[in-house]
Amino acid sequence: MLPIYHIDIMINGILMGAIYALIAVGLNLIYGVSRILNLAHGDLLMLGGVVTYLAYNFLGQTPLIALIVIIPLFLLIGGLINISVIKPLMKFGPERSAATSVIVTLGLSFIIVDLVLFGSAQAGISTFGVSYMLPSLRILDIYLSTVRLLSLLSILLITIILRLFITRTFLGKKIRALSQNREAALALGVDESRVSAITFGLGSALAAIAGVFIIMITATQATIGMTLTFKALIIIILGGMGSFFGAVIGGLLLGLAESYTMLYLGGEWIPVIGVIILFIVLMIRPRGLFGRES
Amino acid sequence: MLKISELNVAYDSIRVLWDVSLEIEEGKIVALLGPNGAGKSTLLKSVMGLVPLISGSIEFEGKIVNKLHPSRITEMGISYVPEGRGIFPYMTVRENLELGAMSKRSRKLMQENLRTCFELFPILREREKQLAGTLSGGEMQMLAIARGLMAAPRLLMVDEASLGLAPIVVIKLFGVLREINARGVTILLVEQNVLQALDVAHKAYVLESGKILLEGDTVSLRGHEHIKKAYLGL
Repeated sequence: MLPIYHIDIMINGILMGAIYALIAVGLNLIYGVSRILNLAHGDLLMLGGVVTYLAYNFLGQTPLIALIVIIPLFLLIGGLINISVIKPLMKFGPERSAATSVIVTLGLSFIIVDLVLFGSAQAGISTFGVSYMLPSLRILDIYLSTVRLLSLLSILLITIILRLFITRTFLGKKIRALSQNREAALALGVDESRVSAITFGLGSALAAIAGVFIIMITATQATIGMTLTFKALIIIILGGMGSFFGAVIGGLLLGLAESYTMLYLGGEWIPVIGVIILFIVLMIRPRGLFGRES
Repeated sequence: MLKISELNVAYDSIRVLWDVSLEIEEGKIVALLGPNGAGKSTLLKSVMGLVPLISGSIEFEGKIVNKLHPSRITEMGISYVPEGRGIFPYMTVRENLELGAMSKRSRKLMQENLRTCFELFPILREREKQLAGTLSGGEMQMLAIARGLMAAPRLLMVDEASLGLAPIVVIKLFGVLREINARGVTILLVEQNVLQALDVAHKAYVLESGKILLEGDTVSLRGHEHIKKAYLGL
């Protein structure tokens, strides 16, 4: 039998993977609908973490309460970003706006990070952490972190709700229609700017939700966003562009891989393991694990 | 019903349509013929509000529609079946059909229109839960047309319905279009399959290099020298 610490490593890996999945699913949704690569995605996550930090340390609210505020807040923020920054690019057509959006969202990323850096320097804060603890759960001889299990459960629930929203509601169908065949969707009268704004809001909310869970695991800094954006990118290419399940499986895979890399190879290998997996997968399946033919 | 006057359209600086005027009477099937790149699809897209106009006007049932958003145009009763069977491959046949009912008006009529679609294309009922991407070419085209009908249109514009389909499927498809027309839907048909189109349509326009070259009822056009030589190979 495996040593007991394996259970810990596995749970950590799955939790981190579930968080990665949230980030990647959001990025993938936005990319699918608008063909926009949002490089500020990870920074919205960081903002979600900062809001959680503020709510916990200054208002005494638990992270799960913060979540209830964060979801509508970031739906709104994402929608506003889409309307003010992304929408003006769309009139150049999807090919050109894809390239310009990279520059624009990179700029947005810098602005968000610098604002948070500036604000936290003024307040004398360098890292954001939430020391939210609950009594551990004991099953046989194994102690499990209640916070982590609760997080895992919440993420599972959020993913299921999201999936139902996308597959069952008319708005969700419009989102899928736009990502599968934009021309046809427009011809049917799908209101692209409205659906794009909602999708951007949804993706941003997912990123912010991920931020809530990350800050419960580890203290974060204003600059973590870009690393996570790139990890999300690796995951959606790994899982297959445009595939919901691809993003979920890709996220879990990366989370577990990182967790075991930490154990067997050491922490310095964590940043490269994703790229190595991506390299191997693309050699065998160029369109990713669950990628669709275009 | 639909009146297009002196329409001019360009993509960037390349002019596609030059002073195109066209009129469609209610209850008719009108064919728009012409070679590749003549601007036929562009004409349909401009009616749907999908491409910007330089000048000209498009009237539908007496109302100017050329400044309206595509969703408003669908709501008014124009439906567009794009070229290349623009279906949503990773959604079921049923979901594709539901997406055709975009306007409030058509969503209320959804059940009724679904029934009509399945009546016209029984194969779609069999394939209801299948992913649209797994259909055959002919079935995809049927789905695209059925989806167009889900909008409860008074004018149905079909772009190149016969493209890449076996002759027997084309004959079947045109038969259904005739049936749809008999049920009171006016049809604008863009076609390269000239023989079939002249057969099914009441009136036809010939568009070449962005200009209307010929127009008239299909009986007289069939005897026209240019049509015979350039399109029918006689």
